Amino acid sequence: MRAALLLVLAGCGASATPDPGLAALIQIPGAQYRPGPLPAPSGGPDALQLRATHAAVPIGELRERIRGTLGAGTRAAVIGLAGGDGGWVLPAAVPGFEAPDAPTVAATIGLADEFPPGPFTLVVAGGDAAGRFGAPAEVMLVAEPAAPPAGELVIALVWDGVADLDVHVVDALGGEAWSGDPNTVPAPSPGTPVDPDAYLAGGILDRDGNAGCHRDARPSEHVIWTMPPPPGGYVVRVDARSMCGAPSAAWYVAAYRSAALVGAARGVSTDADVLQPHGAGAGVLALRFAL
Amino acid sequence: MTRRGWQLDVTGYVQADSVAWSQASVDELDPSTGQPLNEDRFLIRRGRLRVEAHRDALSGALELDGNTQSGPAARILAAQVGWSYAPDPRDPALAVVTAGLVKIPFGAEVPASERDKPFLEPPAVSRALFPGNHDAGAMVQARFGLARGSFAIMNGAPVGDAQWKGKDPAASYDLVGRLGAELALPYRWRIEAGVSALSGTGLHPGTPPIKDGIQWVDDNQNGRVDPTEIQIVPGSPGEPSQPFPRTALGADVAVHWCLCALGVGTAFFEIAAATNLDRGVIYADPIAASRKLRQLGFATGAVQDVGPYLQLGARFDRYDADRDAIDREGVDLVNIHKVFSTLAVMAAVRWSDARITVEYDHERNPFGRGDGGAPITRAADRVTLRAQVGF
Repeated sequence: MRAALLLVLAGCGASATPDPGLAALIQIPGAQYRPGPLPAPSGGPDALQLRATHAAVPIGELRERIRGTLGAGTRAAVIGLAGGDGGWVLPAAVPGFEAPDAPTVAATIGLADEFPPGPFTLVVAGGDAAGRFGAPAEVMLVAEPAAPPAGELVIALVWDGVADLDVHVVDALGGEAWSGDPNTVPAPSPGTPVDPDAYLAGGILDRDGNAGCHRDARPSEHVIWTMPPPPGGYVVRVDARSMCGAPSAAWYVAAYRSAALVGAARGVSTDADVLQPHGAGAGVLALRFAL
Repeated sequence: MTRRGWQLDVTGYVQADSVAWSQASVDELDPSTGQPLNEDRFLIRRGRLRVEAHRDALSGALELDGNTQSGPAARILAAQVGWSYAPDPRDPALAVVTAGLVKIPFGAEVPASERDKPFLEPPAVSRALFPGNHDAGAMVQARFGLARGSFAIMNGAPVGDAQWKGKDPAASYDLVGRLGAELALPYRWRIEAGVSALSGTGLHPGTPPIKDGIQWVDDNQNGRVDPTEIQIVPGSPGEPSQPFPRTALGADVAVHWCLCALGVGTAFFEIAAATNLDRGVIYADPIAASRKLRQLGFATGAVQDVGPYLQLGARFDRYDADRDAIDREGVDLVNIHKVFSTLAVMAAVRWSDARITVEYDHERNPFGRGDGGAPITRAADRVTLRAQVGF
């Protein structure tokens, strides 16, 4: 009986959640998600300092590097929002040169799409080997919504998933911008003088989203006119270059004239679309409008 | 069934599982693999069909497996040809020589049939050291009096090998075997015991030549490509693959009894110590780790029939995948053991060739991170219900 009880106890103990924490407002890849409030001070080592690279952190991006300095004896750091629910556990790293006895912690954080814009306080608390925490260190930051591309005319294609889609935009002069020719202004024919600023008059593709099935965090493509666009009719098509293993890809196309919505459309690309040609003039019609 | 002098036996069984509750189940995708993390589901754990043919001393067998554990899959599980030596056809053969895809003769758990095992899954030490239980090779099984022996020369690439997927990467062979005894005692008691050993060679995969590349590191985190942030990643010449030795030593003992009022029962203990042999749980590559990787695991438990229809059992297994692992936590270097353990408690109702089993598994693993900085268990307890029918 006693042996059986020992066997049971041998398997018991604290356990970590299997939740990857993808619903948390702050996310730290590679760290252990810890649901619930941040740990209250309980006699452990105090955290000394928390620093961020920028005062403003863009919402929906994973790029802000933070660094913390922890009290002597710290084994782990829990990072989270002051007053928020859920934190992330990281092992303490080696001390820096400036404080040889103080372990450090470094991480790259991202703010979820649902993060409310405005100021917030990021907190780090250090824990010792017994799991006791000390007073936390804080840093005040500001969450900024990611600004949409600015321009006189912006045509955006956004979608979700791994599929490689391309936006094709034909302007009023007949020029087409797409990933194979990212400007609506046609290249000068051989022998004609080259105007070095002529390309600025056209709509320019900013990126090739999910190019070659290399997944972007938020796949999107924009064709942007930074100068007044020519009046006339515009055509927007969506070409599915590859589904990259996805069964379908739902997309959204919108056109903005001086930040005001001109038109929008939704659609779904499938494997059948991949079988079509992919050069200039390719894609299914998504939107037609006139300026 | 008899055909052209060959006696054919067709057998099989289906194990349909329902994971009724799993702590590890989350309706999310694994951030690293993109695979669903949900585990609360119905699945076909094993659906096996085995055809055996015998003609005098010759034999052949083919076993196919289908399951839906990671999506629908069908595969060849075992295929072997054999020759047996039996001076008296009424007695078991004294020696059997087989070749093909066979079960690895190490310990008691690995060679046993999944059809007859009381617990739903093998212990972690078996899944780590001999993933898939089968390997290709030639084997001799012999018995003389109380002694039992199985010796094999094998590829050293089990079908469940996490890296090589059953394809032998090296020309060398693994030598593996078990030497044991089976002793019948009064009152229908019986003891089986044995020692096992393995000696073989693994292969650290080399790398092909790599061309120069360009890498952008957003050092000032301004989201723009500045000239100082472009780095050339120099190409490198190819690196040859390197062999490394691996060994294992094991021991097992099982005591069988019969309590007239209740039925038969079994208590068992099995232990294995290995070096560089983990091929299923935390892959052991001593070349990449720059040190030997030592493993140690054991399993112990008991199963008791309670009347003709009910069976109860409990098993505890523990596996340390790297006995010398250390981790840096702050200024300290901490010895961390990558320990997997499971306490499994099962109850089964049997009738003829049908069986319904319910099992609770209390698991321990090193995948979580605790408030103290050390690895702790990522919750993974589960309750599984299995219906099995054999024919």
